[in-house]
Amino acid sequence: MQEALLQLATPTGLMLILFGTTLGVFVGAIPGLTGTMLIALTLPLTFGVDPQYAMTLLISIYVGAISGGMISATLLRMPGTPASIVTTFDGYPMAQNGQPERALGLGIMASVTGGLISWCFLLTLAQPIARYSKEFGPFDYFSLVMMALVLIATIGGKSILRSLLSGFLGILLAMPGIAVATGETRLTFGLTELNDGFQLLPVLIGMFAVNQILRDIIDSAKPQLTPPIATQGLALKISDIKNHGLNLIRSSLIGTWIGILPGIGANIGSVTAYSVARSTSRNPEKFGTGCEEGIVAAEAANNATIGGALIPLVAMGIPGSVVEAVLLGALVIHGFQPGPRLFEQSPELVYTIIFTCLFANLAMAGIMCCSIRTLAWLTKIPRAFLLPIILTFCVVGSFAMSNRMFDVWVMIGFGLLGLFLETKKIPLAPFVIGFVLGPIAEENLSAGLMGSGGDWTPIFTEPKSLAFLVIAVLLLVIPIYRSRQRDRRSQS
Amino acid sequence: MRVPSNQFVFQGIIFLVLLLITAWRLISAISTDQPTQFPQKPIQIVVPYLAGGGTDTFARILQKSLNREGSLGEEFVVTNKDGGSATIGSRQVKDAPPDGYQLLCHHEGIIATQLAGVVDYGPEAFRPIAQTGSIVLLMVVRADSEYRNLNDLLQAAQKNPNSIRVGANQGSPAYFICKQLLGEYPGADFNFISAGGAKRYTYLLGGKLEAGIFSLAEYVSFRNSNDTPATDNILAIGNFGDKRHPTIPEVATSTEQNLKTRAENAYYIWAPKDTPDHIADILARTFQDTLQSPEVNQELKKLSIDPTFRSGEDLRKHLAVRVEAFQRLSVDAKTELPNFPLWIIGIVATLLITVLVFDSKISVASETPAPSNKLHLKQASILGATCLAILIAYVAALQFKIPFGIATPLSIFLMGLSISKAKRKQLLILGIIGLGFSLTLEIVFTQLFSVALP
Repeated sequence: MQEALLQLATPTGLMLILFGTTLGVFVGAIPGLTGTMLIALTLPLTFGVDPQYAMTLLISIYVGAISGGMISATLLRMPGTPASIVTTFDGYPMAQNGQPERALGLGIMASVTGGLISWCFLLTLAQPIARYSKEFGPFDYFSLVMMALVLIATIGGKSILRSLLSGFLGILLAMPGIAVATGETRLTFGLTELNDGFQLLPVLIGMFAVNQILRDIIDSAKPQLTPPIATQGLALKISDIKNHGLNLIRSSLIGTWIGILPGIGANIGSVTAYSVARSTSRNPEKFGTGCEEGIVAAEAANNATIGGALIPLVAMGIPGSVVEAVLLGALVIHGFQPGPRLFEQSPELVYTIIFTCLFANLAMAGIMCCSIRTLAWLTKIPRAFLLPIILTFCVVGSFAMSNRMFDVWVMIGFGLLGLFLETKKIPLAPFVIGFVLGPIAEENLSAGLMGSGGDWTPIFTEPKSLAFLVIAVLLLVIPIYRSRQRDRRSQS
Repeated sequence: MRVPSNQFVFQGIIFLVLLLITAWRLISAISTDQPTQFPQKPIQIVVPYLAGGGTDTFARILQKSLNREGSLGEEFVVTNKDGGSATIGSRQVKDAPPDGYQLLCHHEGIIATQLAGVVDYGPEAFRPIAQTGSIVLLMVVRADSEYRNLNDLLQAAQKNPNSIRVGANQGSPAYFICKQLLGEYPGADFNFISAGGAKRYTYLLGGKLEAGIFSLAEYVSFRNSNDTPATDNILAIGNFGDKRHPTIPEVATSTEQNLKTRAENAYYIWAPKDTPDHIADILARTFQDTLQSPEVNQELKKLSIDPTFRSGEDLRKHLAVRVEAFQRLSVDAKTELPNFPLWIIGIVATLLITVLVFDSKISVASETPAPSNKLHLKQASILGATCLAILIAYVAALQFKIPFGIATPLSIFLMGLSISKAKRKQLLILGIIGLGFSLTLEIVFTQLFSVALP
């Protein structure tokens, strides 16, 4: 542990953390460029570097990118990274209401808190918690995913029906390609490019960035709505910490816990924390209109998933999210064998990873506070300059992930689909979550059914699976029950 | 006549400089396009899996050493094209021009995907360049399992068919090994459960699987030290290789256990089918040299991959044997899975109808534009459509191989032009942004990240 700290405290170590976090924040702030992509692209650059420094750089980028996404989410309503989709729900309205500094300030505070709380878990609980998640069976995963899908239907948008429609549409569009369980291709309509299905990155870029840019272009005839960033800092008060304390801690815990579960990343963490915050809030109707609690919940949780997701990565060699999968690859390339023995064989590396997570979170806070005006500059340049550049980024980003033009067409297609759905008042967030979770649900359900010989009852008899379903039902019922009660009260 | 302002002159100079650089880059790209001797440009090694997977790691170890020695005078670049059970990447190389600049690094999954019906081509659609390493495969159980050897496991599968849950994706090499094993015990059958890599390991420890097939590298990385409780550890009960492996000398081979099933997996380098002999020879020799270098040997040892090398006729024979071994077995799905796509289409349709019938109020109630805004709205829609058209034209231009350096500045310029309503003041700045941005992107991606652009 000391060795790791000593190496990080050298000028090179600190420089790398600072550089990685800054790079991550800026790239994360640009819609269309995600942390996953940046890390995947940086990985080849680290081949010649000392493995500990390499991991330091990659993890700093990771922390920076997840945090930077909130800037464009708040100011432009374009989530810079998928993890900040939920931040658009309240961050953007709040910025439009003339409080962009406060929205960003709250976001930064929440991000740091989330990062630090999850880091404590990473440090202390890495091994015991990973041991527990090891016992999850396929049905448990399936129910967990179902819970997340129900959760998403209860947030965003005014109509649960429309949200559900959107969610299932997302699942449907995730279906083409090769079925996880049987290895057969389906719904490809003879297009060999579709053998791989629609890739997440072009779908996300299309749905959120291209859709939004087209919308902005249409709106650009009107006067610009960009909220100016005033000079007076971040508009935070000490009392904010007190007011949001409970929400901060709860959201961070949710984020950490969800991060630990393999395959489910920051997106779901922030969605879950957001909807829990909403269903336990005294004013749930304010969510989605620029509510402070919403920003805090989303940002605390998405940063907390980083620490959470690193737990199974260092303790068991199992990636907790897409980015972690790339990090896992980095470990292998640098000659380490990720797995339960990493702790014994290369403790210095494990502690480098753990402490980088801490320092990068602190660096992120500093960088964001100092450069928020530079970053907000993105929103101040005339649209005529900014929008074409972002569109070019979208094209290049969609292409570069797997080097094919097909993905670029997919991006344009989904951009138009997103535009269409939004004009029909169908929210996009459930679509994306369905798109991400559908395959996970199917894979686990298939594996479960294969194991049980086609029997569905284990979904209800396995204790963990049952627990998730019960939570899902409760989270669906409580908001409805509450709004009924409120209606009755307002009538009497 | 108005005297142009300083700012205008300044912007003009920048614009001209950028224009010159772009033109120079384009011309130099065209003029160097006269191949004489192989290789003239970097060689791409396509890995049909994600960065960080086993195949990727292997390819990158080779790449590192190939580039360090630099015997060909050109770089090797690893490109990941994952997905579709590795068929996205393999199809790309199959259809690539047979000039030796695109190679595929893939293992015997290439045989399995054909037999499983995922694609209609197998090794015969390629020119095999070299076998560059072999992987030992093991049957693994939880350390406290009652099955201590392969025969225990198969007897149980014979007594109670389908009671033994084994983690293997249908059509994967692991699946074919199991089928081979089952063939030796008439009536025996496993219950196959889809679970890849790390998941197979967790399921095994969690008691969700009785056994699974792991590569030696996976086994070595997943196995805990001997003093961990048996419920938290795994144990190999059979080695499908020719002889015991020095890393795990205690594990008996299948032959020693009186079974005929033998299996291994190996990494091969494939080129498009019509690659000429002289290029194939150069490549094979290069890979052979690299495989013999001490650095590569050391790295491969860490991953428990044996640096076996085969090429030419020897390799063809070996592949024929391997294909035949796979062909004797057949793939069959056992548990009838629900037709998921049909279900989801049904649910979406139901929801759509419900929304249309019961919930259509929201869209009707949505704000109808005030008459004064109508003209404005029309203009805005035209603008949106124009930009969309430019975007589509841009992507189409890239698709038809119009150089990135021309298409990008042009599309940025045109789009900016239509958004800014062709304000003269902004024309030059737009030109600068277009050229500057496309140059920066090109340099960052191709030089710094060594990623190809459209």
